[in-house]
Amino acid sequence: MSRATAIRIYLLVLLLLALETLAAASAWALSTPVILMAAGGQFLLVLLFWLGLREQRGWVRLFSWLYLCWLLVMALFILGEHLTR
Amino acid sequence: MTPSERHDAEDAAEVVAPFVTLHQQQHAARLGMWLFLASEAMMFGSLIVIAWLYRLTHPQGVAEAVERLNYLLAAGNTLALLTSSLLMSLALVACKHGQGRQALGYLLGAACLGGVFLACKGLEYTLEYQEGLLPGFGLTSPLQQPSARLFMNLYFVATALHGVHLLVAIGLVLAVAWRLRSTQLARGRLQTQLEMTALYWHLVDAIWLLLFPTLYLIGR
Repeated sequence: MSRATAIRIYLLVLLLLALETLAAASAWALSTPVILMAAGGQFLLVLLFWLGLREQRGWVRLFSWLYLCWLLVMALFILGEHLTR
Repeated sequence: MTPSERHDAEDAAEVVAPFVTLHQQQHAARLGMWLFLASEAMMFGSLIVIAWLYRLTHPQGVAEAVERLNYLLAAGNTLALLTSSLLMSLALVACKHGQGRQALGYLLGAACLGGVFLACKGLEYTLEYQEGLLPGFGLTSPLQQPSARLFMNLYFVATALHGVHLLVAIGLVLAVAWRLRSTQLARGRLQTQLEMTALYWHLVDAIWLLLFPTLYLIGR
């Protein structure tokens, strides 16, 4: 990753931080989805660019995507189990 | 000896058995680090999912607890952690370009910001202790609902665990900075060490990016 890309990602992540903090301070009806989307965006940016998921190859790429999917499956399982109880 | 031959000789000197090439050694280090990061992500992932389960089952109790958390201090802490992650990325870029002094400066900056995060977290815990919000300190909790106290327990466990991880990350960064300062900038092993430390640092940052809205922001 280049220096310029790292700084660009930083500015984007800061923008999302400002957005989620403002949404939490406000009384918008849509503040929860805005916060969730901003946090998801931050997480993905850090994962793809700073943790370098898009640059990894071979087994490293396979394992990194596999554990992300595993986390998603775990979240869906627990929430699904609760909703169908 | 040509520059290319000198680089090959340097690479060969840095390779440790059972690896044959430096590239193979670096790939193995990356794979091992990602497996470790996966285990960390699973542990914190479980805590985050539990927090969401509390939110679904006890929305009023969680709202009572969340209302008392200092989200502006936590937002400032998020800013410090994000800036430290940027510095780690810049340190890696500087190291790859052979700019040892710049890399050292970035690493020390990142470690300082990590220290700022921990100091602010300590201040936050102190304020919460004075209000009687922290679990297990014998003070009468101002929280009315048992589910609010349960959420505070989870908040304390998750943030303290994250703080311990950050402390380890700061130690690793300082160790790499010490090696960078005391030796010539080696092309291979030191760069790999810095890369693995940066991966760990970014993971600690990424985990906080999920903990912050989960614990502080949603449902205020």
